[in-house]
Amino acid sequence: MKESIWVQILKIILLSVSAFGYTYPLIEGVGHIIVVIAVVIASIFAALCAKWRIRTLWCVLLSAFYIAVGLSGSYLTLNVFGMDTMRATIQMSRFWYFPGLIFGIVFLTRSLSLRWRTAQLIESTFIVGTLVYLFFAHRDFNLQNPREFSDYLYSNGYDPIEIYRWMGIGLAFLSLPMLFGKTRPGKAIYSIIVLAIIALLVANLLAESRLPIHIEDPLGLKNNDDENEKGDKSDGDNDKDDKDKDGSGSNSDSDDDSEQGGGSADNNDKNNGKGGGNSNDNQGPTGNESPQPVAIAVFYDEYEPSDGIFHFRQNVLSAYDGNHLVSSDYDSDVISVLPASGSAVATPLQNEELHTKISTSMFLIKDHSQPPQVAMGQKIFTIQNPDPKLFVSAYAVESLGMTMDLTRFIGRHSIPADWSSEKVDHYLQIPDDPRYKALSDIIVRQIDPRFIGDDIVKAMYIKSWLEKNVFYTLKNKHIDPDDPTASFLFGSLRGYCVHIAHSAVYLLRSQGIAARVAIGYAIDNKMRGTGSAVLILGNQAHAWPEIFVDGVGWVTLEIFPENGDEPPREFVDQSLESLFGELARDDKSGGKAQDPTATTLQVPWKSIWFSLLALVLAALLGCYVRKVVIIVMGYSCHNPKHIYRVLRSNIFVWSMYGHSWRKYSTLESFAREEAGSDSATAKLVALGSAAKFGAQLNSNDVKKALELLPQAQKEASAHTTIVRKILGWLNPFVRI
Amino acid sequence: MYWLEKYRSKFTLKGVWHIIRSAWHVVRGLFPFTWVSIILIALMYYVWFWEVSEHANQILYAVVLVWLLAFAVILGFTLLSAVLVYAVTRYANRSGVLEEKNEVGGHISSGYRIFHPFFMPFVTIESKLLESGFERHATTHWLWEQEWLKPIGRGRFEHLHRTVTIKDIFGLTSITYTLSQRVSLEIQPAQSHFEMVAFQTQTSGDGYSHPEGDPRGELIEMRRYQAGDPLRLVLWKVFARSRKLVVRAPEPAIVEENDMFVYFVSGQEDENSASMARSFLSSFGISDKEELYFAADGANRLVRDEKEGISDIIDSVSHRSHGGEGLLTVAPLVSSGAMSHCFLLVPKKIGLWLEHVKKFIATYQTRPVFILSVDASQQKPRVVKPGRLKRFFCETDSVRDEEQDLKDLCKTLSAYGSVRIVDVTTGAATDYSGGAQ
Repeated sequence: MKESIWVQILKIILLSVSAFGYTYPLIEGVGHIIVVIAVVIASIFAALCAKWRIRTLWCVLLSAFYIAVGLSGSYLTLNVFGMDTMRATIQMSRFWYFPGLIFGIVFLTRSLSLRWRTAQLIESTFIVGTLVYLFFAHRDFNLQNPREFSDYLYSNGYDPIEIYRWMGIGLAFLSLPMLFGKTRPGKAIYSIIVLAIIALLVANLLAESRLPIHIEDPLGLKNNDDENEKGDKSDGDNDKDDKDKDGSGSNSDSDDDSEQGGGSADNNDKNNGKGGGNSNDNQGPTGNESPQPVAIAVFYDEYEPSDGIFHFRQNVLSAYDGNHLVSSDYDSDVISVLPASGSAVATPLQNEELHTKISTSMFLIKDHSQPPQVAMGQKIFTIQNPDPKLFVSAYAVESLGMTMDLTRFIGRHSIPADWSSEKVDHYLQIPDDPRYKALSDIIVRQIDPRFIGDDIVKAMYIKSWLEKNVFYTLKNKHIDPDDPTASFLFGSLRGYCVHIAHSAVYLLRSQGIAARVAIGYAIDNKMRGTGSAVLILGNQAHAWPEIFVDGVGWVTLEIFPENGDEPPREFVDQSLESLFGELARDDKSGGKAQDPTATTLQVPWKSIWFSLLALVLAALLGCYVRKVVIIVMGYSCHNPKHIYRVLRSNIFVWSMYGHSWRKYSTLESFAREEAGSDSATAKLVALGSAAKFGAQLNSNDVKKALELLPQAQKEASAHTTIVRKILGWLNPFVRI
Repeated sequence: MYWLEKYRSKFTLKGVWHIIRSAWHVVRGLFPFTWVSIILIALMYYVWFWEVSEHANQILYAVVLVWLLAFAVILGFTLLSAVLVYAVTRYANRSGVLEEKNEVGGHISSGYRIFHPFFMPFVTIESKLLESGFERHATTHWLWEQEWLKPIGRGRFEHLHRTVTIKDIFGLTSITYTLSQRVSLEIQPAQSHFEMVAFQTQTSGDGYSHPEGDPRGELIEMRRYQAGDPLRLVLWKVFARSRKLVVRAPEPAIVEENDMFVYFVSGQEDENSASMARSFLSSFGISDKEELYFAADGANRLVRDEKEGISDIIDSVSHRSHGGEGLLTVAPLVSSGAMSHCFLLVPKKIGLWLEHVKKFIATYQTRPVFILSVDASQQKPRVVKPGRLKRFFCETDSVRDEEQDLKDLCKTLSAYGSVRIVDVTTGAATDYSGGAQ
């Protein structure tokens, strides 16, 4: 495949800039110049190899050699030359490693793309990869990275998301010409202009758009929008649906059933369920990459959870359908659907006197069909989204938070006397397996005789037993089609929050304590920053049990297994938490600028499009003016030297009406064929030809030409239909 | 049933395969995506689902969107151009059938115009003629591509097919289709320079000067005196200078043979030969001389006049794959006297025709004169084969050494008869004498 020389020059320039970008963080000073020179030489060398028709195999081997030289530089420096100092290594990297590596890569890509057009995609990818590589750290909404760049942008009123997108648009725009083959410059420039308009269009479209993020549910917790919309109408009959959602329930929008886990640890176990909430599976507790932020909660009240854990509940599972725990209508105290507008209020069950009121604003970075609410959410209403590019939705939550310890409620019963027998049965349903009751009996047998029969103490004993005996691990999935919870509880006792929560609920219910599984996120207060914003990460998804205490309401019963093989959680990046907190508070600078009300720079899209339109209109106007000038100049000719203007005016009118002289070999044959040999056009052509061949014309000839011109134009008009004439006048691009 | 009858002959394995191949070419031509675009789409798919959607990569988000939109726009322009070019070209060439008689090397203005919407961004249009018997020269003026054709091979044509390829400058999309033009073209072989000597036989086949009698022709070469040479041919001035007896030998005495059988064998690279055959027919006026027999491949008859002969030569194009086959059919119609002066106008390239010719020679025990027509003005310079080292490192074209091929053919043919090489541009004839050419 051959490329035009100008295409090759363009590619060398782009590749040089790209190579500079790749090596920018790695070398400095003269190294950059050497790298650019390496690119230029490699490109020229590749072009020569293509010209000399060097076999592709040799080109590949040659480039492999250069790459090997580049890569082996470190080894040679240390072992052959014995230069083991850092300084020597840096020096060598400037002159050897990177230039060698870049030379090999560029030579390879250029050699291949000069032979096969498909290989030009490698070059395009190479170009695109430059900025992607340099700004790789911004992925997963880590907008504080790269820190220097991010700080600069925020503190100067730029939105990094917008800047990254502009970078992408620029890259795409530059990478497409890398696919040029043998193209005429005119066509290429014209196409590039159209491409530029497309790029501008995309930029405009992206200005307020939010990046669509696919969410998978590592917990295997089903989130079915239909289910949420229905409320919990499926009171256990809808086995097929419920099978998928019995887990501790996440809030993700995932429609992939196979990813659901959690909950009752039934079929969720075949997935990689981990706890509650939702997050990407590669960023969960087992993920190697940094976890993605999924939401930010801004607190307006002081709130310190009694157990040190912020629980962001999304849904609860309480109905046992014979196989799993699923959500139900009985849990009307939980708001599991975010209202499209207005507010949603939960059925009040909590004793407000024993709780603290908490006001928060939630800003979802990833879409959740079940809105996370801190503690026991009582009311949700939507609020203005401060940054649609960043946040999917924003809503305010009024919650009730428990600040008292569970021991304060000793002596209270779990099930109130006014509950109907159906409701009691609902919250006490467990699998038809006597082992649950037997085990719970063994556990509560150890209770101090003074507290025998006390529901709270029983709950505390069951919690304590589980904490001591369970081994927390994400490795055991308990893939048991019948009852994964039994598999966990009466088996290895190795599992994760989903199994633990379900086990706790079944054991508690077997002792006559109303219990259910809550799903959402749990954030350890000790592992976060000190600000009033709490960043929720994808790997903080969790499931936990709740028990009902008469006169109090639902109380969280968090279980902390003493043994486990999971590494301790890392601290949440405080700068990221702070940044999101400030952005959620509508400080566009993310807290970096002095003035929090300062707005970011906005691209004047309207002006851009108006300017472009004006440019096009001006160009069109110019074309029409040109038409008029050419025609009028024919009539304004007084100098014999300029007699060609008369002829040009006439030929132009003929062309405008669709009779191009270019179909004929000469103007004379055109005039003869189109107008006739005795026509005014033919006479004008004869005059023009005489002038062209140096005949001495005088003012009489000019006069004669001016007399012939209207006649000739009438001839053109007579040979043309009215439609063609109209089209001719409308056509701005008439060519003589 | 009509349909079945019509296509019955095509329902053979070969016919079905041909139909499948044709259908595939049509479908492949209309399929607008190239390998580049397919790989690009796969790449975008990967980037979207693994980087954009999973990791919220803002840069790649914009890249993919620009690429997608650009790709959609480019595809749209390509499709639009394809439709536009097809419709407008068909409309512009809707009337008239090009009727023309011409000859190889002539100039035909086909009048066929292909629409070139230069204003379409990204899109380029390429067109080429499918018929191999023409060199196509196209020029684009404003919105139209006009062409003139130079026939390079004889034949009759009822349609001329042009493939039009609409593609974008990035190589992402490409649509190819065929447009046909109804024509009635008869391309005759070019008129070559003709010398009677090409079809004359020697009275003595040795090539030596005739010691007695009245030699015809010019005295053409000097050689040492041999016993029996007439003394009047001795160049005494040379003898005086060098003391060597040198004679100027006359060219071999020849005689015009009007009783002859000339057969045109078709095959690959037979155009020069066809040209020679046409000239032969024009020069000899075959209708006047009943003792002259001429036939061409495919016709299976002896021609009665020049017109018929040229017609047969033109039609022999379709019998190139089994050239020489008609020899055995025509030979019984030829008198034995003519058969002893048999001239075979053969192609420049060895093919299956040689087997048929061998069979003819074996059957009739004749020793024909093979007329090998070449165009000395078109003869390519001797090919220098690249060295082994160059071939090892560089890609080299397998260039055909025409001169060597001709020598090989002459050597092969000389085993079955005498070989005469005739230059169609000058009419000069040279007898092949075993490697001394």
